[in-house]
Formats: sequence, C-alpha cells, structure tokens
Amino acid sequence: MPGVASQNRAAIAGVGAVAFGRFESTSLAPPVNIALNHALEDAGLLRTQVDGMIVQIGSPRGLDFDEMAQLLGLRLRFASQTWSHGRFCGTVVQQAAMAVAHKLADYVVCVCAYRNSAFPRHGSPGFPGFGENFRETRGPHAETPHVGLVAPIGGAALAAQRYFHRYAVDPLKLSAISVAQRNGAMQNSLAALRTPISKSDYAASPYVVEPLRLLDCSIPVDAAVALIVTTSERAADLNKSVVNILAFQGMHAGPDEFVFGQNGLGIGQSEETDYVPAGAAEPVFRAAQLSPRDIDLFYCYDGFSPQVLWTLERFGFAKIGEAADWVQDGRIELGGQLPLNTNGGNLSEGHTNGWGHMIEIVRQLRGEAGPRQAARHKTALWATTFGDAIAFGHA
Amino acid sequence: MRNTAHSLEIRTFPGGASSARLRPNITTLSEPFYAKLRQGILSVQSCERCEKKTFPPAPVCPACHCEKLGWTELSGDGAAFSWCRYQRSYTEEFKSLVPYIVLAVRMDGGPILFGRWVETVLRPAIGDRVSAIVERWQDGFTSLGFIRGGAGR
Repeated sequence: MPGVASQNRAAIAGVGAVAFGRFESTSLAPPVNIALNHALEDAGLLRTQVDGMIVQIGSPRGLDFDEMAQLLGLRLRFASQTWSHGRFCGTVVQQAAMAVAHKLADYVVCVCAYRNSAFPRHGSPGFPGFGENFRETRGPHAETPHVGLVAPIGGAALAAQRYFHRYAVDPLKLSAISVAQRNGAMQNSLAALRTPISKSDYAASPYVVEPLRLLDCSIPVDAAVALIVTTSERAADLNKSVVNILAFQGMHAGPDEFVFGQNGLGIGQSEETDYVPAGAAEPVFRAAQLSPRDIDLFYCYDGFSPQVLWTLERFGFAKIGEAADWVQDGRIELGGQLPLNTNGGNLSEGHTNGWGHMIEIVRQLRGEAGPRQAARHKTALWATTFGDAIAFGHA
Repeated sequence: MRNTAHSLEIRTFPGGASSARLRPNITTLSEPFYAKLRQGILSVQSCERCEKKTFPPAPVCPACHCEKLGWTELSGDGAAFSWCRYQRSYTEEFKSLVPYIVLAVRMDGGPILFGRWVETVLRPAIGDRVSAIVERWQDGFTSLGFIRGGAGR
C-alpha cells in the first residue's frame, strides 16, 4: 500500500487568508475574494490564470463551487467539492496535486470558506450538520442523540477517556499541547486567541464534556482561505521559493477507523484491538524517502487536543500510549525538537479545518514566519488521526 | 431470535417530553433492534458463520463478510468501557439533566453500546459492572440506559 510520491511534482504556489474570527460581512464572497487576491499576489499570478478550483465547505455554511466560481469570476476547466467536514483539508490538497499532475488544470485554487457565526453552536439542532446525526447508523463523530451523545466532542471525550485508562495517561499532560499552540498563536496575526495561557490556566479550565476541558477544544471561527497548487515546474517560475508536495497518503476509512481516536480504541464503530501504529512504516515516509526523524515541523488536525497525541503515535514520533509524556518539557514548542501547529492550530488560531496549518507550513518552509520562524524548516509533515498525510519540502 | 427472554427494567425518561428531534433513523436494517427495545429486550446482530455480534446493524459481518446475520438477545449486563460527562447542554431535551453521563459499555458476549447513565448519585468507573435498562420517553419512544450492575432486576 504505497503512498504517492508526487512524481509529476506539485507545489504550493501561493496562500492567502483573512484573519480568523467573526466576519462582519454577511456575504462570504468579499472575504473569499480578499483571500484569493492575497494568494494570487503571493504567487504572482493573475486571476485569469486560475483554471481549477476545489471547494471544501459548501452551503449553507460556505459557498458551493458553482456559486463560488460565478461570484469570483473564475473560468474553470476543473472544479470539485468535498463533504462539508474538517477532515477533508489534506484530501483537497492531494486532489489538487493530482489534478495538476494529470493536466486537468494548471493552477488549482483550494478554497475553504465558511461562516460559523451565522449558526448556533456546533452539535446543536440549528447547526447545519445536525441532520448527519441521523445517518443510517450514527453521526460522523459517533453521535447518538437520543441517549444524549451529541456534538463532535462527545465521541472525542469517550475516546480520550478510554485512551487515558488504557495507557494510564495523566489527562493534565494535555496542557503541554494547549500551551505550546497558544504560544504560537500569540505571535500570529491571523489567530483568534492570542492571550497567554499557563499549565495552571489549563488545570482551571472548565470541563465541557469531561474529560475534555474548554482548553482542549478548538475555537470555532469564520474562515476564508485560498491556497493555489500548481506543478513544481511552473512554481519555479513564480515569485517565491518553491514549497513542494513531496508525497502523500489518503484518508483511511472502514470498520477500524474512528475520526477521534486511534484504530482499535473501541469507540465509534471500531472494535477494540491490539493496535500497533505503522509509525515510520506509514507509506508517506517511504514515498518521500524520509523518516519521522527527518521532519522539522509537524502539523496535525486538532479539533480536540488528544488528536495531537494520537497523530504523533500513528506516524511514529512517539510510541503508542507515550505521546503525552513525549510532548512535555518544551519538545513541541518553537525551539524544541519538533515544533508543531506553530500557527496555534485549530485550538488557538481558529478551527480552519487545517487550512491555517497549510498556510503556516508554506510560510515556515519559505522562512516567512517572522517572530515564530522555526530554525529548521526544510521539511514539514501534515498528518491526521484518520490517516491522511502530506510531506512538504524544498527538494 | 434466540428465546432467552431477558426483560429489561423500563423507566420513564426524565428529560424532554418529545423524542421527535432526536429519534434515530429507523431503517429496514435497524428496525428489529428498536422494535425489541420497545418490548424491553436488547438484541444485536449475530453472524451465523463467525458468531461476531454486531452493532449498529449492517448487511454484512464486518469481521468475516458473511451476509447471513441473525439476531440474538443479550442479557443486558456488561462492563463500563468508557464514559463522558456533559457539563453543557446541546439539546433542549437533555438540558434539565445536565450534568449527565453517557456510557460506552462492553456488553457481555456482545459489542460496545452507548447509553445514558441513569444513576443520579453514583459515578461509573471503567470496568464497573453495569446493566441495561430502557428509558421510555413520554411519547413512547424508548432509548437505552444503564444502571449499576446487579440492581433493579
């Protein structure tokens, strides 16, 4: 099951975003237009050169691809759109890489834009995704509303509790993640949450759904992000130093997978098994000819902080059950062994489904991250609890 | 359906009166589960080939891919596998119950099921013995709940 080495190499040409928070505009089109203009300027491209687009979040929170193209005046020969879930960020970038490799388009803009502020809280009946609770089996995060198991956090809390029990993990060790990511956000002008927090602030943070505290939860924001993918060859002719997509592997699915939790943890539909993560044997490493030790910067989907632990274990940075110890003592801070989610992540920059992480990867690898620039920035890995990954680098 | 007649205790659901907004999508596949639960009987699919017990209901055994799945009754007894406690309400129907606990339970001889922890004083710990009960809503809908093992039967 090899990962895809991006032979007909794809690269990130440009990125743009509007600061994450609450949009004053009740139309999404103006903020998306600003994000697109930033990305075009970043890449040194004209709007007329964009001939492909993949939209991640459609209506009603966002704009669907057809309306988006009309409103932005984009004339496209390749357009696509995914399920309106955060977990599709990496998948969209991968699809864009495949589209340019197969010459479906020269410049594919990936757009993620939505207004959460227009709706009630995620997980409550007025939120657009609430109907997914009534799929044939359960909601996408194991929601079972008639027994009170509602909102994504419920499944995440059950998984975290089981994980803490199974591996005898002290839940307070999660504080290292929340604090490290906030430290990054404090130096990021896009970020929604920029006030400092300490480990004792974490310990005093109220439970939302125990064992998860407020500071374990991502912060919902309105978002507008544009990221332009092209071939490495074309990217070399553009403004900025080339950030290549070295290799990737797809999102996993099936009876063993649960969005919040490791394989085999037993929550969701998955059975409890003696799961041993593939770690360094994950196909993305082989395809990129890298090992976890070669990764300078790590970015992962962090709807809830335990996902950082599970992703570090799945991709071989820490042994199973040991990531909570591994992240202590500054190891994941800027200046540590493996700085992670240096933008602040979904926890502190704002829940952008990972698009804020993608922008940060590009800025860090180019050396443009300003006060939060990491010393080593040759390679970065995007990875998720649910198995997809992308290796980025200059090579 | 194996004829072992384990009747679960039925209690009145103390939250919202109407289940209309939260009721599951009862399909051709899942209808037997909910029909039996209404009668106070807990049942799950059982693979005729490998005997794996499956929930939620599926057209094919996730373990061996056999398509011959029958239904089997469970005793309702099990062990707490995980739990979480809501300190905030996302739905009107559960608002008066906050803080409330949802359990994942490894059923004896069966799969892991979710249900509300109906006890009001005791807190569960992972590994504790628990027993299933049925919570009957005022509109007649029934949902799965759990109480301390050995009690109420």
